[in-house]
Amino acid sequence: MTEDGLPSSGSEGTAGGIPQSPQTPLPPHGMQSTTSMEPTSPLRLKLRRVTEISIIGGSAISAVLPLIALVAMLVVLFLEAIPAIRFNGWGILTGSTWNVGNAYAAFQHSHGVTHLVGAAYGAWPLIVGTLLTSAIAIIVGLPIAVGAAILVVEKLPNAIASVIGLFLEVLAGVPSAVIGLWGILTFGPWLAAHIYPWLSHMPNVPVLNYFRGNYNRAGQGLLTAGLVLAAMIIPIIAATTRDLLRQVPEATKEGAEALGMTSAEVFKTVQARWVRTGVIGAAVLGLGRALGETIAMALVAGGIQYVPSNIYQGASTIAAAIVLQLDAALTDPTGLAVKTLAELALILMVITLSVNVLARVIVRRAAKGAVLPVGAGF
Amino acid sequence: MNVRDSVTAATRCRGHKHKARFTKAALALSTAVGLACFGNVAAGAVTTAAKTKAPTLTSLEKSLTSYENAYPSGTTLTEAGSSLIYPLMLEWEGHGLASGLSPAAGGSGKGQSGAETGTLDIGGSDPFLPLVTLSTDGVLNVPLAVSAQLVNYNIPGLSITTHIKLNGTILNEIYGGAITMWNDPAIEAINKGLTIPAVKIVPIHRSDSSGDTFLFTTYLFDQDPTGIAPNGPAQLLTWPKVTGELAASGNAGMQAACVANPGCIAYIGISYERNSVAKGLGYAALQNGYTGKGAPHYILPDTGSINDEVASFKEMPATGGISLIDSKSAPEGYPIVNFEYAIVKQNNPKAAAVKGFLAWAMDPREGSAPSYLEPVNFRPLPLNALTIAISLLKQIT
Repeated sequence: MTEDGLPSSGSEGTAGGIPQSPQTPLPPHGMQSTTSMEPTSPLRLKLRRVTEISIIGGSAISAVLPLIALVAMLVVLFLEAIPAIRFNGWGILTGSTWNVGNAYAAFQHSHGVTHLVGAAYGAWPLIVGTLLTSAIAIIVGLPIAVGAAILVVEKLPNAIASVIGLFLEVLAGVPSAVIGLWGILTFGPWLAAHIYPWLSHMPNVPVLNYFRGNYNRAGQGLLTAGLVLAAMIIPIIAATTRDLLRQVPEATKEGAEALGMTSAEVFKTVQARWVRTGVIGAAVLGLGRALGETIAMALVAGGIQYVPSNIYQGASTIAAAIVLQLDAALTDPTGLAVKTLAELALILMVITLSVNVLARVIVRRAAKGAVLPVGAGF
Repeated sequence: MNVRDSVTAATRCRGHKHKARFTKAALALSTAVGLACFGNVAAGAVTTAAKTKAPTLTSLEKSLTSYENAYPSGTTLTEAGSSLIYPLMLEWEGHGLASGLSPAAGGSGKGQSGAETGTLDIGGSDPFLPLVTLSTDGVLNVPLAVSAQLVNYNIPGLSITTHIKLNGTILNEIYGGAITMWNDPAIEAINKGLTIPAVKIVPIHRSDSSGDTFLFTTYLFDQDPTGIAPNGPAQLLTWPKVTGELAASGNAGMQAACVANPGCIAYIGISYERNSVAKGLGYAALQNGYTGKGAPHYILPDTGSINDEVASFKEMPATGGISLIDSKSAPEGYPIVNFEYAIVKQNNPKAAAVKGFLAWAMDPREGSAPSYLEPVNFRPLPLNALTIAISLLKQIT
């Protein structure tokens, strides 16, 4: 029971008979506080105690709430998904067939679960689609974002830099439905008309051979999805990196310059080391958004549940599938389809959480090596 | 084919070794047995097929009028679902008893789930619902109009007035990836005398939970049960992996994707026919289910062939749920024809409004007048279906 932050608190503490806290009374500021407060003090004190308890209690609840929410979400999802987990087994992670089944035929029972004839749920193409689109987004988006941040902080005059910075921040706030719509109406067809014809003539060597193959005129598919995701995460990563670069002390940079380094060398030895862990963090932030991005993926990925054999083919992601399939799932009279979507959600959460944990480990490792960049490279 | 399904359902069911014959009339019986197997109580709602003691149109119109008159003016009704019936809803919107209607598309699956959960007043659906769903969710599928589905294509170099002949076997192979070129020998074999350009086929299917997919896979399954839908028709399924395949959402999305991708094939509702033709999409003559003299028959979708198909279904089940696809007894019938359904709660807080609007919608003098139906190429309900539909309205309370 601490009661500081209020004027003339010491004297009231005594009057109310509350165990005196070890704090020193504030100077009375020439005010006759003791006498003037005495008649009202018990009531005031009670009020104050209530306020205080409610503040502490409230903040305690607010502090625990996110934790409870996360745990509750996981538990509820898991409980919802139990029948699906029993029915699908490990097959959901490895299988590629996704059928709700025939609602017009008699139900079947297996693994203690009632299901439709022909029901089969394999999410492997969705898992692959989720990871591949996000991977493309990071591979394409990270260099662009970091490059943009460097340009803004190091090279551009302040006036232009601040305008670009503003755009970056605004871009980060564009709703994903807008970006998705742009992807399906403008960006996808444009890529298919101007970029993919050229890309598809890549030499037939490992990795690059995935760029060979057919693409559709709408541009729907894995690569477009990845590029749309990149457009979404670039502003996030760029804005964070820009802020990090601004925190690099001028003195260190100047010191390095004084040693006769070129600006590239300065960047390599000073800024790069300084911001490295932060950029990884920003990348993970972007990756988190990419993995969970729903509506844009539902629009541009193509909605095809197969592991694509070239980079232009239609794909789907876990988040997009949940949205695209919910209506179909709700019409399954056995309810198994909805439970399976819950299982999908659970899988997505596990993927996202593991990426986060992994990133933390990386950041911690990297942080150990680069406490202070000064002199580290010499 | 759903007859076949429910027959298998009935025969599979333990303790019910009924040998139901595969006739359309067996539907009500077999589904009733199937229902009994699930231990459902609503068997009363699924009495035998309506005996066609054909009520006259005038008597039916009289009961429609009484529902229409009971419509509480100023009520708003939300509708969403089937993108096949959506253009008709747009025709209706703002007219007559549809003045309070606010329609949306979203796929039949959305219409069904929305009506079942109560988020929608009316769910638009191309397929009828399984009996289990009707009873457990307390919903009705009320037939509203007759619709059909086209198999559209975009083949550069082929005149739009030329209609390629196709059948279920070939469509199964196209969507299964076995046939990849438009000038495949199998396609040319049934299109003698027609030079089809060597264009790569781009199969397009729906990505949302779609009644059109249901209708299309019903046809595919009926013509070739070993094809791409071995478990029977579905609103959503894993399509075989085909290089260059596309998925699109809604009939409008299918149309747009087909226009944008030469070589495409897409199943699109007849309500989009005019628009599709205007955008340069052709449509196929499909082999129907008729196996008698002169078969196979390749039929184009038009008023006559759609009416023939519907007329071959003499008996309507009391639930209103019946597949009109691939009739064996309509030599000139177009094979992919269906009733458009309104899915509504039986125990309905807006009962009077829902009944009034639905009565207005199916009334051949009102919502089902040619002025509304012709722009979207729908037909009014035949008398036997209208009789059932009115009896379903009666059950909304």
